[in-house]
Amino acid sequence: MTAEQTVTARRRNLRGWMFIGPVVIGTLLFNVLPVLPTLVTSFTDWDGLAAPKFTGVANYQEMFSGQDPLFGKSLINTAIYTIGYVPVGIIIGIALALLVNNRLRGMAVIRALIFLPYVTSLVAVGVISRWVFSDQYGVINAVLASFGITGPHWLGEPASAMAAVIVTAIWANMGFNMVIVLAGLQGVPETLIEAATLDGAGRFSRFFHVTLPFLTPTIFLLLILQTIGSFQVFALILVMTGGGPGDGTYVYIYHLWYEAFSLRRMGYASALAIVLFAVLLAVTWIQNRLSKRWVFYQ
Amino acid sequence: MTIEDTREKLAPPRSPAPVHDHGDVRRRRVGRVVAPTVTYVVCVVVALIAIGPFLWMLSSSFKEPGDVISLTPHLLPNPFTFENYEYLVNNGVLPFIRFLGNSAYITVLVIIGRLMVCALGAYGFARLQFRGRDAAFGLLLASLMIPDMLMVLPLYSAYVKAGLIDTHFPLIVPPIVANTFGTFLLRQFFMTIPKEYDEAALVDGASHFRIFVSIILPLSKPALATLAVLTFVNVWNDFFGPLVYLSDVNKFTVPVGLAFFQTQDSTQYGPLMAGATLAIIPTVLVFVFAQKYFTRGISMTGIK
Repeated sequence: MTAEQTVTARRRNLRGWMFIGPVVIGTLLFNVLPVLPTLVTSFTDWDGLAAPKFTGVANYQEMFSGQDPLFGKSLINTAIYTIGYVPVGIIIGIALALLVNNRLRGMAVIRALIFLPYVTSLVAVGVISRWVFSDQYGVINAVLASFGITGPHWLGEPASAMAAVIVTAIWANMGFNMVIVLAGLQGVPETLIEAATLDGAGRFSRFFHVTLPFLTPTIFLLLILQTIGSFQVFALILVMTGGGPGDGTYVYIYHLWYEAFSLRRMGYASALAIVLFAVLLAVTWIQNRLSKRWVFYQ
Repeated sequence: MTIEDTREKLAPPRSPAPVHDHGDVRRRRVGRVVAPTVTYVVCVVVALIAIGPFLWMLSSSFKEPGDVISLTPHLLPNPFTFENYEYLVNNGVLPFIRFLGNSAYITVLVIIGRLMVCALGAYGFARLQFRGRDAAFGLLLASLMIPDMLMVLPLYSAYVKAGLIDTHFPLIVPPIVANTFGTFLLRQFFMTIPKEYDEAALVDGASHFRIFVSIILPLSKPALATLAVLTFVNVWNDFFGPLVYLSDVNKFTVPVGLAFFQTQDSTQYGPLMAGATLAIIPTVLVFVFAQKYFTRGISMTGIK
């Protein structure tokens, strides 16, 4: 290579890095490198300001030996929320997509209206929902009362409070699921549906034997995205229930936030963050393994 | 191309011949009268469920205190009042106008900055050949899989030491310079622009920066618009960042301000609904006017 060629190569590299430099350095600085200190401080006692004190695996021991009952409780609550929200949310998304996937006049408007809750602030959604589920002044209990039924104190009991949060989350995200399924429906070959129709297949049989298999990759994508999202539910819970009543809706991120910013136990919170990451990796890995049994790729 | 466009192009012409309707995929015959009626009725019910709570919020925000919690719910405010909005402006404790101003300027800055940084990076990844490019791209891909929670604690501590807590720095700078998602979105789009355009310009002696500014960017308006509207919604609605990094009420954005307001007095339904309305209106307006960019962006990527 001549000297001249080396210079051009160097100039070319420099030019390339001038374009990608900002986003690469920014990502490294704010989205990659901070993982290392989190891993380190998870083995320390740290208030976020003074120098961290090395404590070995004490933080992890505290979690898994049952010294912190809220760790187990928050994991269980998060699992209940995820199991309650994800499957129903996906089924509703599929149902809505099938409902609006036609060329009838006005469908674009209907699709837009269903999508609307998704673009709104979860805090605002929580504020509204808290009122909708209010025992004295809520719309739901007012409607029940007009039928002579005394509605429950929704947010006052752990089980019904969790149900209220799940219903709100399903409502807020149904438009997102619908749009993803609509995109997936474009991949279902029309000729196959027609062939099935000619063979005398009814609408349910066409859906379960033709449409649904082609939708499995989309359903799998939603399953992964929504599970990861559910494990990190926070804003809705903070606004609607504050983790209560008692610890009825106290979820994992709420625990992490509380330990870190209210109790200033940043070392312990770091360990909670590491465990969250491990759990998410494990759950995604299991879902991926299981997917080979039911996801159908063309 | 939006989902609707695709469907219109792929869909065969309507035919009146009746067949059992299914409400399903690009059907050849959507002729029967009963099925569309049923579909319409179900659609309207679903749409009402979707926006009903917002209509209720909007109407309550114009009701008087006694009317808001009336035990016989009614949709139209009677009498109609701006009292709740006046309360938000003049309550002397929570400066709601200020929250709106903070949210607005943060959102605008992030959109402008993010479009610039992501577009530059996307051009480098899509169009230039140089050492380290593929490794850098792999790094960005990997960073997408790390949850934010793994970064928050050390960043918080770094901001404390740098005196950046209670400033808007953590809400503006990282979202601008560390947005992998936007870089991917634009890169995917830039790759679809024919290379012949660049080559012709290079032959004419144009620099790469010149090609980026005067050829690629003008051709990428739809992709840039998609990234802009998705960024608008994400930044305007962001809650965790402001909650963690701000404690001075005057620095609050709308979502933390609203959440804080609720913790102060959760029974002031009228002003709370007025606050929720103000929090929601900007994103709804953006959505109404830029709807196709949302669905395009979301179905392209599967991510908010």
